[in-house]
Amino acid sequence: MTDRRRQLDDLLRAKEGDAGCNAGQEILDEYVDLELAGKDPARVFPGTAIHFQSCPGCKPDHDGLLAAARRWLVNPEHFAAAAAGAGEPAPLLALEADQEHEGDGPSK
Amino acid sequence: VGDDTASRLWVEQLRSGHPRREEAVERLRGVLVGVAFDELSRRRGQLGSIADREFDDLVQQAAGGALTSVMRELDEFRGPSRFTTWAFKFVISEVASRVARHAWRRQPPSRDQLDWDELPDWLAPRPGERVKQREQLEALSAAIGELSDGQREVFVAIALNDVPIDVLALQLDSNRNATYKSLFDARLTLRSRLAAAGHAVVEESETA
Repeated sequence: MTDRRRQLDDLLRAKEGDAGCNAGQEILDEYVDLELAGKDPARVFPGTAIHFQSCPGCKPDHDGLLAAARRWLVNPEHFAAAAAGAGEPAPLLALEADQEHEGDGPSK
Repeated sequence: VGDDTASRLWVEQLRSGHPRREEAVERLRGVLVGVAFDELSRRRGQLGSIADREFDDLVQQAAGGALTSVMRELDEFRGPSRFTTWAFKFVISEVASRVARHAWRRQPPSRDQLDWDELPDWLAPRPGERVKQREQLEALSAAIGELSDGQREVFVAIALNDVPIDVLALQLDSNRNATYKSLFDARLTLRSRLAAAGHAVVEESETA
């Protein structure tokens, strides 16, 4: 595909089956946890998968939540540092952090 | 709540009457502040030049708004996502909303970003392009001019001039879902008109 054709395809991206913003927001957390569990959320939520490819508002929301949820699983102490950067005292993370380190990943 | 022990503990301890509730609320608030800080940092480019103090205020406001929503909706949480992913969703929503409002107040979309005159330079036909490509762009230009006023305004602002969808929704006194619907309908109309004129846009997946 040429650059021009790709440019036009992006500009006019509209696929049948797009579930829209409200449906995507409702299941965004479940969608992200499926991804973190190594599953394909597009099989469960095909209309939302289409939507996240096209919506300039919901895609960054999805990307942001995925990044935050992944960081929480991998390094929950990161949030203490981030909060400290925002002038907050370090949050107490003992409860879930301990559980994550003992567990074997997402509970899906 | 499903079989996620950590999620179950969060919910139990956040409920009123639990002896560790105050500690759990503070713990959650600290985590949400961290998430808000990260997400606002990721979107900082949309905020323009912003003082550190104002940025920190936005962090606190987003985290506080999210915490209020989590506590209000706590009894509605049933999974199947983790509690933390569910709670972080409120932060993302708060951040998106506050960034859009900040950007809109600071610099609302200009008339030039909403009005249709001609294809922007980055999309206009270039010297040396094949006749068929030039004709396709001319057909697109004509089709944009034939959109309804509402669809054209949304398409021109978002697709051609990169106005953030939430900022445009504020400008139009609308919401993201309705604004996206207008964008989607405009794109479908344009595709249909291009196809009718013999210049169908082939999706990338169709050429793979």
